[in-house]
Amino acid sequence: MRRAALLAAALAATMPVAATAKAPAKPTLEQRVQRLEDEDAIRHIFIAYAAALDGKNADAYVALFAKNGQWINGSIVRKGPAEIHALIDGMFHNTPAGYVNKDSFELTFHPDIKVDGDRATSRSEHVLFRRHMDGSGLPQAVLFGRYEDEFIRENGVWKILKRVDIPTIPTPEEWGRIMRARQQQPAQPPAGGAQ
Amino acid sequence: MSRAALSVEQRLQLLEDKEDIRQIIIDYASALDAQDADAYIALFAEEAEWVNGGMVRKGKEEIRALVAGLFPTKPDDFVNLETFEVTFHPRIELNGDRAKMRSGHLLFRRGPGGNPVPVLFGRYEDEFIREDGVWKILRRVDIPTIPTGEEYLPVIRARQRIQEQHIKGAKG
Repeated sequence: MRRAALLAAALAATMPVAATAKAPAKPTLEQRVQRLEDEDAIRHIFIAYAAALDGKNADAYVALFAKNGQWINGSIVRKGPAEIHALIDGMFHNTPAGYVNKDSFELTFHPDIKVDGDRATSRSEHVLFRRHMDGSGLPQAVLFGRYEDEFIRENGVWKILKRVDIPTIPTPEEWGRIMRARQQQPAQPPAGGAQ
Repeated sequence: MSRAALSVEQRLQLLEDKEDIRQIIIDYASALDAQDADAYIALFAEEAEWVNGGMVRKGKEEIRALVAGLFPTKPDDFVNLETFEVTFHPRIELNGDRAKMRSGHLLFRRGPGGNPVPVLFGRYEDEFIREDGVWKILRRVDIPTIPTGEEYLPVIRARQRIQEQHIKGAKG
């Protein structure tokens, strides 16, 4: 009995080394808080991104990207803040101060964020709503898509390193036809009077 | 128990638990959109229930049989170009290794012109359990609301008839 106990003790003495080598280290309190803070900071990028789009604020939009940030939609690729700024300037056309967007808004949802040190990835979904083309003023969902993103912590602040926008419903081909049809329609005055 | 009576570690654990449960919402919608039965089933506890009106499925096997019928065979690179679901406003109440959640969800379908059209708003009333250290769905009650379950059933049947006609047309 005593011999068996000694043998067991001897075996047990060898186990912690092996167990320590295999088991992942339990995160510290600080690491656990850091993870929550990182995920929260990245979720805030989605909010700021949607706000910049809705407000047609090119500076706020570009500020969300890293020095080497990329923006990709199909074959359209823009690299670096200057190229992204040029793309957005073309879409936002001289937005006046105090502008309120009465034509469109974006809803982003289901961000699936994975943080790995100073890098992170996320998959999320988004729906673009526009003022209905029938003149009713009702919001109409016009495009569902997916974002596949990479983030980097740059000077202590999370930034978008790569944003891939994937139009899904309608497909990019269908969306092109819809946009051309919309451009041919006369502009509808907003509900409650002309701007 | 008030927050003041909890240690920092306990307060952190509550935040992590809520985050883990919110992640289930994301994974659930992702599995539905991708029509991935294995990913869907993996979110449920061993003794889970899935309830929608009079339709009740108990245990993983019954739930798997239900979704296997809903999710047709598809290629590995399948991308859902027909539907997606938005889940929102999760209100989570934690109680140790159990939790409850109420949330809203909105189902969209491809419309005639290709744009997404909202077709169903509903509520989820869920219970969760921490099983082997991982949060799982113990009970999901899906409550179609706008339209109601009674109103939505004819919509589903009409859609099935159209799909069957398309399939027959494609074969014929």
